[in-house]
Amino acid sequence: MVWRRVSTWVTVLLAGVVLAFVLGSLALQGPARSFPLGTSLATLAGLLLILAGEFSPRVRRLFEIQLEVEEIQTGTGSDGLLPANQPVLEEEVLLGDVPWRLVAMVFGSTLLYSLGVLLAGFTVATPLFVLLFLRLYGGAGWLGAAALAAGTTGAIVALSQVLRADLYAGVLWGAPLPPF
Amino acid sequence: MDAAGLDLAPVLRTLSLLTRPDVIALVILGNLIGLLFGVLPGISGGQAFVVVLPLTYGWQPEVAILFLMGMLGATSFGGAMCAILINVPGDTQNAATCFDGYPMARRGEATRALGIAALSNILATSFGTVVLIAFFPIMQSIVLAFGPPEFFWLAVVGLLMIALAAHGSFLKGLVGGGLGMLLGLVGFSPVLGVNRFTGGRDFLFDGIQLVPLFVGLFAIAQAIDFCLTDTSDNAPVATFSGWRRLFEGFSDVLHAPVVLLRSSAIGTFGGMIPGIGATAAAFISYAVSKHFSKTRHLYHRGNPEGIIASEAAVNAKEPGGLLPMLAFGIPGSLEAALVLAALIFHGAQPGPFLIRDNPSMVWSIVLSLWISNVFGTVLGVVIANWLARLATVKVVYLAPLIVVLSLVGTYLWRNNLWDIFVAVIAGVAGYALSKAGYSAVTFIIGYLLGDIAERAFFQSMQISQNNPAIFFQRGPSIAMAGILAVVLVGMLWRNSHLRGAVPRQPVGG
Repeated sequence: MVWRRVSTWVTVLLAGVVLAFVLGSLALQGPARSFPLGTSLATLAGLLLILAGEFSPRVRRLFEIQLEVEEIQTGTGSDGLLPANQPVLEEEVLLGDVPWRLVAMVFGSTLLYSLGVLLAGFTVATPLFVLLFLRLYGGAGWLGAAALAAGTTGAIVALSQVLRADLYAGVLWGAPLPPF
Repeated sequence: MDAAGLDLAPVLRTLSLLTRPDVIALVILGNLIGLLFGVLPGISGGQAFVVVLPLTYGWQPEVAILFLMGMLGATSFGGAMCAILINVPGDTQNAATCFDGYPMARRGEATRALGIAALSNILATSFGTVVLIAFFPIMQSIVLAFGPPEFFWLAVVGLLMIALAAHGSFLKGLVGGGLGMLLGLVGFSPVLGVNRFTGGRDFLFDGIQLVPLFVGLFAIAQAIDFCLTDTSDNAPVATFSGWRRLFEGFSDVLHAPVVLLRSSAIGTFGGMIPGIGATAAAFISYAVSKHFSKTRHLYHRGNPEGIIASEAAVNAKEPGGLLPMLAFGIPGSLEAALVLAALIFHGAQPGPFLIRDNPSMVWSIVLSLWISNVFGTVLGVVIANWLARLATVKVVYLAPLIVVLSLVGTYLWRNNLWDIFVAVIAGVAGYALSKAGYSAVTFIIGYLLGDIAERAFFQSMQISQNNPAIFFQRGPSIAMAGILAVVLVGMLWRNSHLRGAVPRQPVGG
């Protein structure tokens, strides 16, 4: 059950990231090291406690504290501010609860849009992204999606003119790649 | 500064900006954008702020602040409108308004309810603004008494308070703040003169930038999130039906001065405590108002007092919430963090001497908050019918627009293409963090506080010649360290003596 929770996996991932910060801090010298090392160690300790809490509800309960106005929010007729007399555990989100296919589709399309900007520039990638997103995901008709795509592209071009800035043209059209 | 701690010259300078037609047009445009975003369920004024912020690069800073605050100040009324007309809060802070606003709308009193929300909005913001201004001289004295060790503790305690009130567990809130602080350390440190955590990448020399991080966490992650939730059509139950009914609503507010004043005070002073969000302030105010009301049996059935209580607290909270940020550079809420980001973006150095070094910027914030609330509310009432129709738009149609505008704005800010990838990655990370119970708000506040905390830490160690005892030598330091210890130990002791636990109910905010 523990390994079916999103929280468990994200916490493990974050612990890995923070461990990298710990190791990076150890490579620093002198005063540049103290604050990052202290912060990363404290954060890592917190993450390990959270991970322990994933396996042990008793550990988890120690760190849950919320002021809840529960009965007011549900309108059950109570009055006054009611602090929680019991620790209120956060709602568990299981791996199976997340619509992974949809998440992948939505984020994937955003990432593809960014790659499209890199390759072909904003003025090509934007109408394609808006059109395909609305059509394939939003369920809009072709005409409406095309109109919105054209309008959005027009808006960003107008915006760039107003701000006197150039939209990135894309590597395919000869725009230079910024230093990485 | 004069003896009272108030210099009128920057006030007059800011007010003179408002006589320029272009500035007035920008404020109205900001109000319109704020109302639009406020009335769309699930989309907050913060998102509008984040999307538009990069586009204000190069503007006169005071004008940019007037425009941005115009958006932030107007979203609340848009959210109230949504809550009253379709029983869906435009933002979580308007959730309590649904309890009495929608029942009033269902019995044909939608316009009266809008009038109640409108006047509560204006009067409560005015109250909060006056209190905020009155506190400036007091805060100046406190700020001057603080040294680097105190500012270090202030950053830590500020993060603690926000973690306590954050959505999710307290420990996750703290860890989120720690993660944000670490991310803020990436890049070249001008204080220490070294590169940190860049992996040799030129792109990371300037660190993880504020704009793509904000855009990713709050615009892209949220836009994607509401794509994945069900967005049924919501038809408004009623729309605007005449000025007479509107004035009836005004009369309701004027006949409940105690409710108005009490709710405004709860909002303003609650907002000064880091971590008390607008949603919490609204519910606390609603609960208190119901407790003391002679017509408590009418709450949840269309009692005007219910709308006054929640809307007054929400709107009075905004000026109060700015005080820790303006005085100390410590944002106590997401809205304050956004304003802090705007200040940094426009070259102001937030911190304890902002009021002294950049008073016109501070007055721009204070005055624009009040003006935007008033203008935005009046504008909202005038175009209520049109706005009500917008509330029924499927937000999935707006998601690609928000993504495009966000990424274009991020790119146009400093013409660096990699920023848009940072924003997308931050969006993915923000979504994952929210599903795992980590708060993006504590993350971003940790990011903003990291620089203050490290600078204060470094200065303290230099003053004391690397003796850590400096953090426990002066009264204010000891007091804040004591608060930290008491809260942590008290929480652990209390929780260890409680039995059982209940699953969290889905809550607003």
